[in-house]
Amino acid sequence: MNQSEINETLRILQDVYGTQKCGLDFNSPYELLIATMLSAQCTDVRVNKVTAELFKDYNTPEKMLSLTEGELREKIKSCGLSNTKAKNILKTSHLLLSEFGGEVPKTMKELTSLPGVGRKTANVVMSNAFGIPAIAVDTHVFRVSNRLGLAKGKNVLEVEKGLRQNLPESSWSSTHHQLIWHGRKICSARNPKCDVCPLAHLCETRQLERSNLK
Amino acid sequence: MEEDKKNNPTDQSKENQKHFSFKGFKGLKPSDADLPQTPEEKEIEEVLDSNNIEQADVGATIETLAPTTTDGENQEPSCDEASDTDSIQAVDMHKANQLDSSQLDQDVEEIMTKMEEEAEPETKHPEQAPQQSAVAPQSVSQDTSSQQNVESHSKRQGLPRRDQNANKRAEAADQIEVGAYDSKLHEIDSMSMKSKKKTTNRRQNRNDAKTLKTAKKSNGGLPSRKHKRKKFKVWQKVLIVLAVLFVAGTAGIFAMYQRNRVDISSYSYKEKQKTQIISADNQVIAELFTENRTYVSLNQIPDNMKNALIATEDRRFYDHGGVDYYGIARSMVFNVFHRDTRSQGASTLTQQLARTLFLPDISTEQTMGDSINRKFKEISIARQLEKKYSKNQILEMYLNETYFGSSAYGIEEAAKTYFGKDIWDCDLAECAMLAGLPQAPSGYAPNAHYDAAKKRQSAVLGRMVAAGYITKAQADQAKAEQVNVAKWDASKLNNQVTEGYEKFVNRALQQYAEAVAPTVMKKQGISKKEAIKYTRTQVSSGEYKIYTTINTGMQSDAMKVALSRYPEGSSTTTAIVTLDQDGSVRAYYGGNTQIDMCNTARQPGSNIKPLYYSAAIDKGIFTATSSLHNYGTYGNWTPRAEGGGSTVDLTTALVKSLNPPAAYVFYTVGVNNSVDWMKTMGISTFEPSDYNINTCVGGMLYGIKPIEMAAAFNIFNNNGIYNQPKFVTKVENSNGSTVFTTSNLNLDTHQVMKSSTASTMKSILRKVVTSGTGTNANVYGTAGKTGTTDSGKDLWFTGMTGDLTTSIWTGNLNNKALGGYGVISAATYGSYMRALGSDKLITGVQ
Repeated sequence: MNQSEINETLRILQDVYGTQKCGLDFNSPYELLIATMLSAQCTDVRVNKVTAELFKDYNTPEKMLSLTEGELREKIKSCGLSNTKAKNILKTSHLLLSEFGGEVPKTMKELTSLPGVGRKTANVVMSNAFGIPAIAVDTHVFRVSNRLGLAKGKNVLEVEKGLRQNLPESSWSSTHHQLIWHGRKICSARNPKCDVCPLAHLCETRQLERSNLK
Repeated sequence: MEEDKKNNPTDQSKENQKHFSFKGFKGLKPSDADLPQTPEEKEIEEVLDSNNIEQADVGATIETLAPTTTDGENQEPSCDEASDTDSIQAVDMHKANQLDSSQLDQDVEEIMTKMEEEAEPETKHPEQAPQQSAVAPQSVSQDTSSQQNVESHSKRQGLPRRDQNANKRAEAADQIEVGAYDSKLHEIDSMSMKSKKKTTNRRQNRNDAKTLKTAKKSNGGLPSRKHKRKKFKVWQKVLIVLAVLFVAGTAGIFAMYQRNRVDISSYSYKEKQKTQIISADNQVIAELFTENRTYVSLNQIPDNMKNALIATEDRRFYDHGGVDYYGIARSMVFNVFHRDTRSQGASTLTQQLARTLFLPDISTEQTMGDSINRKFKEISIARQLEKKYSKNQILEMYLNETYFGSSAYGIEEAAKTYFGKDIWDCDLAECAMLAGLPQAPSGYAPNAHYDAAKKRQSAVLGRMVAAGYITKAQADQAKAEQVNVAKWDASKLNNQVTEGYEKFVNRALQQYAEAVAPTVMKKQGISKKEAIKYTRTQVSSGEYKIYTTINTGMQSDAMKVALSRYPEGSSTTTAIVTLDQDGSVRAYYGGNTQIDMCNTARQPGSNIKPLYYSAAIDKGIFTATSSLHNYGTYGNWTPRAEGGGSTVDLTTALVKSLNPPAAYVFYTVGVNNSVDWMKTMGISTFEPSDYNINTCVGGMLYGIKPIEMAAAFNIFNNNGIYNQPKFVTKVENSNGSTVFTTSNLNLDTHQVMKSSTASTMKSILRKVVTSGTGTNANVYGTAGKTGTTDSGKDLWFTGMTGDLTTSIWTGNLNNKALGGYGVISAATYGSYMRALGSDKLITGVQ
């Protein structure tokens, strides 16, 4: 994709999906951090259901830490991977309390020092909680970016780097959400709906397939 | 015995009545006391002294017994008839006169043995009061009564009983002797002259008599007056010999009586209270007892109950003076004639009460001698009780003190135990069943041996009919009634301590027992362990009032907070212990199981850090702002850095609970110094293997007890002074006098660190709560420290709020990882303090 194609892609994405907000419900950076940690291998809808209950009583690190692992596991088990998630949420909360004065840090380095927090979670938190331009590469962003040719890479880190290079910083956060929606609605992992895809004419993969057919 | 033969008991005249009727004793008056006496005379005097005194004034001491009273004289009828009788009887008694005094004594002993057996009072009364035939000089009335006794014994021998004045208390003393004598003579008849015994008994008795009356000197045993008589009949000799023997025997009895006499003049009955444990805010938190008793007054007890008891145990209860001499005589006669069958007893209710109140250790009696001695004690106490208390009071005491089986003491608990109702709701059938119990509380227990109880009940009802308390129809109706017996529930006996206070009460009793152990050990010659056990048993049944330090408001808040999260049955539990600055234990909740987790060592995790940090500050090694290494290898251990740069200031290191700087501090102070320092802070659980770098992060062999952790933190809250935790403030005995105070505890209190060190530590620990892991406890200016062990096995928070220092531990008893952090305990602390605050129980908050 050249720069004009990229700009065209971003324009169409903006037209089709508009400005999207994060699919997770949250009222504070800590809530977003926990919700994002919970969203691994889980849908936002499910996470929102769980956090609606959880955050009623446990919406700060110290409150969360008044739970034992077992108690927390019970509350989040419908999100899956609850053993690891419970342990990590408590560890993270404890570190926030002892190291960061109970506040969620804003830098990638600090965020990723927390157990259970990787680049994607950190990016989500940074961009959504603090408005820091960041582009989180999840499974949708990774797939769609590779297919479209917005950024090519074998892993999420390469794709993120490519996106950071190719996209204007101002569009990182919104494009991230638009790509996710596009991945969910049209560019699904299996049987992408190329027939109705507004980006089909720009899509490298689609064009490659067509030329192969010819 | 030569001189005795010269006495002439028949020489009696009105004029002589004023003097001693025995010629041999003629003229023996107080003024003649300096005249020589025969040993027999002396003994007679002594015995009769005692006799008279016992009769006239139970409480009086022997020294007051001047032989000047003339009481007996007025009642004394003519003795003409008696003397005739004597003459007749002497022949009958002829064969007995060969018995020497030792034989007599032996007989007396046997007689006394019979007295022990409790009897069912005989229905017939003596038809006529014993004739008091003595001719007593005014000045020596006791001698007179002796004379009466001697003569009346002989007189009654073989004659129909004549006792129309059985009610006369004044004759009580007479009765016992009559009875004894009757019985003795029966025995003599049936014994067919047993071989004679050595005179040791007799000598013994004499010695006893002498001991008691040391004021009187022996005259050397030689008769000083010999009055020859021309005519001296054989029967007279016999009579005299017998009389003397009797008097000697009586002397022996009374010597024993005097020796065993128990003076209860200073005693006043108090209903037995349970030992009470009282909180600092004057609430009763435990009532301990070994005898389960609820006191009821006589007017709460139905007449049926009283009547049934009196008819069964002591028919002449309202007539005797504490001892039923007639009953004793009757039972002895009965027992002599029915040796191979059942035996009768004659213990009055008063005697039984005397035994219950003063002589409870019957079971330890080894020999016949013990039993006899006890019997004498019992009689002396019973007579004094009768002087001191009315019949109704005695009956009330009896009904409340007596054991009715199945761990029920007193009639009210008996009614509750057997029938599940109050005594005032019990009907005739039930009362009769209860009245049968004192004889054999286990054997007749309705809840165990219903048939036996039923049989006994019908016997009781029979006696009530015989005594005229109820009609035959009423008895039959009661017999036919189906009595509903309650099932025995042993559990209520264990329910002596208010729920949640068990562990505190245990510690309080233990502290008291340990404090008095040295004295008990010395006194009893037992080991410390035994002494503690002994004291604890004593205190649990001794009607003590034990005042303690606990505050029921704080305790109930602590329990509420701990149980709201981990209720009973949960595998996880929370222990909370709160100390005041002076070490007083204000709250002590040891968890939801039997194990007292306040007093159980657990791994402290980072909660231990402030303890040795204070050493570094106090010794001037570091200050609150010193820069510490946030790295390093100590021994073979390299603590993992969890953030921060290569150096960190001391306050931050402690607030963030960083391990590398902690190891650095511990190592710099010195491993041994650090551990020894913590020992001075009252931590008692360090083992030799704990002199190790791992101790700096709480890696100990056993760990630290929450109560000791609280006491150690209290040093920070108390200007550097350590106060050993205090459970007991005062112990009062049943009389309400203080027998033990805090000063007897010898509690350890000493300055551990400078006051400035303590306040520095406190301000650092305040930051833990405002900006570190302790934020959940951030109420009322709390300062404290959390602690967490691997995978959250032990979750700690120890904090100071106002004057209170509290340590909270949460974990699984089986040491299974709980997951989570000390923050959990900090949260518990926060809830607890908020509860205390809303109850206005926190003092010293700015």
